Amino acid sequence: MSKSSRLPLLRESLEPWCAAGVTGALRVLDPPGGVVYVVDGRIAYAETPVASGVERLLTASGRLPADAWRAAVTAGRAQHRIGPELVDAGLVTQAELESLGVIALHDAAFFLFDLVVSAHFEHRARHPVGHLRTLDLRSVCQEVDRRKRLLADAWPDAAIDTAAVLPQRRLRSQCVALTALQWEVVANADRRRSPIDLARLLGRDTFTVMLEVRRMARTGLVEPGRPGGSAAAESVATVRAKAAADMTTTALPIVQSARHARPEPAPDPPEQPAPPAGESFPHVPLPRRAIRQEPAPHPELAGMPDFRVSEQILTRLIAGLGAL
Amino acid sequence: MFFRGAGVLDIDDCLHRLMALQGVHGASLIDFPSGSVIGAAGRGPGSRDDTPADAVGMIHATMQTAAFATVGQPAHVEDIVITAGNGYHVMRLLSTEVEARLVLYVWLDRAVGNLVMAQRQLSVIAAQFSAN
Repeated sequence: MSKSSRLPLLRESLEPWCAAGVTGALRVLDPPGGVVYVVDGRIAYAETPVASGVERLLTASGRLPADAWRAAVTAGRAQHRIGPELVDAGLVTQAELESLGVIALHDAAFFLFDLVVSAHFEHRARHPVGHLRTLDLRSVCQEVDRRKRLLADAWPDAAIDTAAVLPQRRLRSQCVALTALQWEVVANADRRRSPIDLARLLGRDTFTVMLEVRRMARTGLVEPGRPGGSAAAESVATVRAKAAADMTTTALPIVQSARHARPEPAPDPPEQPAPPAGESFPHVPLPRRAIRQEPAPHPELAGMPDFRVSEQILTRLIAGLGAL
Repeated sequence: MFFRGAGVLDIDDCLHRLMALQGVHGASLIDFPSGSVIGAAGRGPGSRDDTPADAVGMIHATMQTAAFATVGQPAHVEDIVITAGNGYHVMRLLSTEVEARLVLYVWLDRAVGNLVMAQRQLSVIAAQFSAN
């Protein structure tokens, strides 16, 4: 795999700005969209439509009435002091607001930091909530990695995050113990909402809800249903499928299949052909039979004689097209 | 230096106050459902000379168990103390109205630390943390 030709991850794009100690915002232009705010070279805040921001954590959870938030926005937006407005009004404490800021920052970073997206840096842009706690880029990256590990350990298939949460109608065991958050999830799962939708509804951070759902799936309390139809869930699914597809074309031996992008129920995903020619192939409307016969070159993609494989695929393609 | 009221108490103030306790090794504020460290001072989770994952894991395991304790039907758990070979680990659950998700954690020395003083200070900070 050629690292030099690869586009940088968002966390890598942040490095020079943080190293230079600047203040501004890195705006993500591709879906799912989002902004990472940097203050004096430290990460101050991050937001994306698919994660829960401070506003949702405060209002959707019932901590603050929506009117109070709107009033603070009206009063403080222009001067970047929505947060201080809330604190001055005695609605939240500074410590509470800072905590929610960090929770929201980690939640958005989880979705944004490993994306390969085009981003644009705006100098001196600040978040309207105002100054909260800033974090070191490295510690945010570590937290993102820790969260990925936790999720993978709880339940390996990421598709569960965007699928409807189906609580089991009947349990085999006599009694179950749930944490308060797990209860909230089960009580609000209407068999259509995905973990991402539930997090928005409940005003919880998305990562925690995804984690609890995966844990409950592991113990057999809930199961993943059909892909959730909401905009947020679809956005995450699309971005992940694209990331998985990008990974395959750059020949990383990633196991996660891009199942959302490809509706055909291929048990042996055809998206692992020869790496160098890979970019051109998946876009051709292939006759599926021709591909299926190809034994997937699983072991050590990088070490394979790539040319030979791509030639094989070509001949099979031509043969398949001829047969049609 | 001007007077800072309860409303503007920030996370660093909380941690500084805890670090002022006698025989304290470290203090941190932890988001317990996700296990992430929001702020840390001294040694312990989130600092360089300790493995944060282990300490957070310990807190998580304890909290998970404590939440299910039914002895005498406790309405809610206020704090948890673990007496260990390397000191006292005190976890104070912050119960802001809905956001009952934050935990103040203090690691005290067995010989020098004063457990009761630490618990009192934690209560004071917890009260101010979510004071309206």
